[in-house]
Amino acid sequence: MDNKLQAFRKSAANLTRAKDVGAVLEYNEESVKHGLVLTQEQAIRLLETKDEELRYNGRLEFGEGILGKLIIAFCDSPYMNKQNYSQNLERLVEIFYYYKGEMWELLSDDELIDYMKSFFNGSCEGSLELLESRELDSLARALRRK
Amino acid sequence: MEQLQKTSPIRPENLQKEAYLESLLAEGERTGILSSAEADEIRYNLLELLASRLEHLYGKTTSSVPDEWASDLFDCLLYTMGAWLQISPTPEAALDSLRNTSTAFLYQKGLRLMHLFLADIRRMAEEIYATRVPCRNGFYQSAVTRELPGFLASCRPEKNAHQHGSSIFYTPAYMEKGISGVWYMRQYAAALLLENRFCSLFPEEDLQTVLDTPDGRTGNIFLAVLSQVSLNLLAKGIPSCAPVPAEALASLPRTEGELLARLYTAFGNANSYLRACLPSIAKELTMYR
Repeated sequence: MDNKLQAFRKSAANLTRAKDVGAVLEYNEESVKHGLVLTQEQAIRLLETKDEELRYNGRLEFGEGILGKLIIAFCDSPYMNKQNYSQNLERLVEIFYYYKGEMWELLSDDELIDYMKSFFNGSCEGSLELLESRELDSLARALRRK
Repeated sequence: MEQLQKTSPIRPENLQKEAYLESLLAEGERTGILSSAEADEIRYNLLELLASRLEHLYGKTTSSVPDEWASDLFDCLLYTMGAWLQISPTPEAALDSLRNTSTAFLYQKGLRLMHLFLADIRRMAEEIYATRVPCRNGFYQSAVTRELPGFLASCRPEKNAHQHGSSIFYTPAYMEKGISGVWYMRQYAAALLLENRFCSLFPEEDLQTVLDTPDGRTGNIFLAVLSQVSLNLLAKGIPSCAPVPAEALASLPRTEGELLARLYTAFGNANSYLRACLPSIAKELTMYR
């Protein structure tokens, strides 16, 4: 990343966060209808995963971010349960950012999430491995060929 | 009684034209005019501004962008605000604006300035095209007919005010150093226009004689014409671009210093742009002694 932006981000880093955790927990109001909630600890870990993935994939997030949309899209999935909910969300964040770049920014956030949800609940039958290595990989290759 | 003069702890030599905002912030911190906390808050506000600009530009479809996009836009923001701060009466006033005015407001001011500069360039480009010198210098012709219009067509101050493209090969005789982007192109167009206006004072056939040479086809055409006019002024006392007979060259001063002194006198009240070029002309004319 360019030094200017990186330097500014480092020096302002201590002024951010806190409100983010609260924003993630607000989505519990929707997910609880399907018997799923995130604890504060899980919300923090999800945010850490997101930050890590943004860094790893060389991306900068702005606005409301992606977590809320992922929670809303997947909390009603028949393949989500109390045991795997938090971990699955973390994996979905990883997969989302990886394929956002792999698809050359050709899909909007909403379009990519729609595909992810449709594959996850459909042909992948809840398998994140199949979602990642089969369905989204094929989609990315098809998009890049266009 | 002796007058007391207010001195500033800000060292102008520490302020960089191309990174004015960043260097102003650093200088503010170094001198203690800004506390570290204040400087960090300004940096944080700049990041907030970046986030809001990213959302404005891309937010309809995405909530994240590749770092390169963000970084490029951030450079553009810093450049735009830096340009506005640079026209403050003093660096202290600029620092004061940075501390007491919202970053969003400063950015809007900078953006407005960029649009005004762009309108200036557009106006000048039309006149440059209308007064272009008929010559075979491909770099010059390409700059006037392709690269300058190309810049105007592609420049979006909201996204790329800091870039002026790297494909303009023709260089005016004099350009300020350490500037870039829209600011650079405004100076570029002003210089080119001035050079065109000067060249258009002379008959086309004389211009073609001067410029239809290896140097005239690749180098700066204004300097070639100015050099010929200088020869005429010194040898014959007339501001012409016509060829000078060899015997007339014998009367030229012998040293570069003498040549320059005579040129300054000969060009009398000429504008500062032309006068800034005279040292290189004097150096060149030593070849004719």
